[in-house]
Parts: sequence; structure tokens; C-alpha cells
Amino acid sequence: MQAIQAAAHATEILAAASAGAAASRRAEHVPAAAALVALTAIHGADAAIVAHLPTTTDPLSPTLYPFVYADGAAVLASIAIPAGLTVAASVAPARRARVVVLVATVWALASLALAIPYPSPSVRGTALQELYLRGDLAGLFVSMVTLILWARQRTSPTTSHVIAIGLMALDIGILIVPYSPWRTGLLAGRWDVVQVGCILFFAAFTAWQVWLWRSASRSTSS
Amino acid sequence: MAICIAVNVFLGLALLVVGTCWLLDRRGQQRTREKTERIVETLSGELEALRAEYAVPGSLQPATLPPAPRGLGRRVVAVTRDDAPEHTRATVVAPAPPDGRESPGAWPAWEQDTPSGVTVVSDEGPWRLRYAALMAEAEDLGLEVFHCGSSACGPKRHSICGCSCKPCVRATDLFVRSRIRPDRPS
Repeated sequence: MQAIQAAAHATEILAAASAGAAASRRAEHVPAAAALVALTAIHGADAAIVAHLPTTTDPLSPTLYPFVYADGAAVLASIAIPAGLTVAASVAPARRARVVVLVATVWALASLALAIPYPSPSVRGTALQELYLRGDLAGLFVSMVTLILWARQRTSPTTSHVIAIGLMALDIGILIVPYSPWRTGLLAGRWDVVQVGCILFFAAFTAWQVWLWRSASRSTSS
Repeated sequence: MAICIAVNVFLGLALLVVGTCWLLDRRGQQRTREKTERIVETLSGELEALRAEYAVPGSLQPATLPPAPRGLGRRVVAVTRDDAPEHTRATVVAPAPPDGRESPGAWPAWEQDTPSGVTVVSDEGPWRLRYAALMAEAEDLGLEVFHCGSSACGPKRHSICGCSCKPCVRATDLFVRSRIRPDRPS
């Protein structure tokens, strides 16, 4: 594993851990913590899954199909979670369970739609990359519309909104940086530019969440 | 080179996130201030009316009204006769009623503003005027009012007790959502 990749994973884990700590003292941060923990777990699992897959766009042997299915589901989950977080942070807590069910259903259906046709060329190589990109743009669209609707209420953002906006910005950054894998190819693109973004954003999340945790601690003890 | 550009792009986006959140927070606070000014104005008049009705000068001071909690996005009016765990951090807005009676249940005051911005008020005894005023205020400001639907809350069912009936759950949701942060004074 490259050093930059290891650093990106480490900062993501730190962000998830600090989110959990912040959420333990601030209920408003629970959606953000759940999203960051889920993203970290999925990225970790996907790294293990991808290690079993050869870097080729050719059809793989049937014994590797479960890994292909799991990889597709993991990528779609990492697309769905930031959008789900934005919606969950913007609705009343009683409706959050519905949001989770809705996001999980959409994710499960999309994962099935991606897995069933394999090894059709429509879900491999360039076509797969386009599908992922469409999914990512759809997730960004959902996040954007949700935030605009929420902002019309003129309420102050919760800490979960801040993380949701941060994840959205990270996603946009990954789309627009030079040599983005979204544009140059998932197999041919440069992932180091993505990992730089992950390190910067997750380190910032970590620092801010530690501050949230400490400030909540001080107010409790005083 | 690509890494340098990527760092700049991500740093720029991070600054954009901070700026956006700051602007949204500022807008939310401005709205809170506007709403609070109207509410305090209304409350001041009501306190005068209460003072006149119970003829104990100085027992209810408008000056005791707390400042608007920072981050209050919406004000939720709930009516209760019960004590409930989620209200234990309530801030007393006004002293005990002038005739020395305790408020129903274990409450020492006729009205409490919880840290979430939920206003809890009884509809009984001397508190009925405040209840009526709050209902009128809620109507004027388009605020949400919740009345418990559980029979456990009493025959009139005018309370938010924190039970699992729909109005209580909704009020509790907004209680959490309005997310007053006591560690961030206004």
C-alpha cells in the first residue's frame, strides 16, 4: 500500500472515530458520525475486495463474481451515503429512519441492477465508469437540492450539515481535479490526487470534531 | 504538479465550505433574532397583563426573559402538565406564580423555556392566560403547537409528556432539531 493511500485511510478512520466521540456528546452529530463510520467501513472492505480482483476490464472468471458484485455495491454505497447524510440531516429526526430505509432500498436495487447483467459489456470498463459517474452526479444533485430546500428555512446548520457540505465539496473536488479517475478512467486515473483531497478533508473533519467533543466536554463539566 | 493543483483545489473547496456554513449560520441567527424580538415584545405585554390580573407588582419581570438561544431555528410551543426527563435542563423564564402555588406536577414555574427552544406551559390555573397568549402567538407566527394525544396526560389531553403518541414524538423531534447549544451563549 502506498504511503499516501495509507495516510488517506488513516485520516478517514480518525475522522470516523472523532465523529463518534463528538456524537456521544452532541446528538445533532449522530447522522454525520453514522455516515463517516459507514463510509470508513465500506472503503476498508472495498480495499480488501479490490485486492482480489485483477486490474482488467475483461470478463472475470465466475469464481470472482462475488467480489465483482461486492465491489459494485461498495462503490454505490460510498456514493449513496453522502447524499443520504444530507437528507437525514435536513429532515426531522423522526423521519431519519425512513431516509435510511429509502437510501438502503435505492442502493440495494442499484447494486442488483449492476450485478445481474455482469459480465455484460454494459456494466464493465468504460460503461461501468459512466454508470458510476451518473450515480455520483445523481447523488450530488440530491444533496444540492436538499441543501437548497433546507437553506430556504433560514435555520443555522447543524454539525451534521457541515459534514454533509464538506463531503459534497470533497466529491466535487474529486470530479474536477486534474487526472480525476472519474474522467480519465477508474483503472487508468491517478488516485493520488483523490487521496490528497481525502487527507485534507478528513484531517479537517477530525480537528473540528475533536474541538466539538472538547467544547461539549467543557460545557458539561462547568 | 497535479498534486499541487489538487491541493489548491481541495483547499479552495474547504474554504468554500467554511464560508458557506458561516453564511448559513449568520442567516439563521439573524432570523432567530428577528423572531425573538417579536416574541419578547409579545411576552412583555403578556407579563404586564398577568401582573395586573394577579395584582402582585414586580413578581413577574420582563427583564427575566432569557436572551434568544443561539442556533434556535424554530420555536416549538408545547403544553404540558407533566414533568419529563427531557425538560430537566429547562431554563426558568419567570418566577413562581404570585399566589405561591406550585405549577402542576413538580414544576416550580408557570412556564419554562427548554434549552431546545421548546416553550412548555400549562393550560391550568393562573397559567391559562399564558397558554392562551402562546396559542395566539403561535397562530400569528405560524409556529407549531402540539397537544398530547395520550390519555395518560390527563382528561384534557393538553400536554406534551414525552410519550410515544404522534404529537409528543413530533414535538420531541423538533426539541432535538432546534438544537440549542448551551455551551454557545448568545
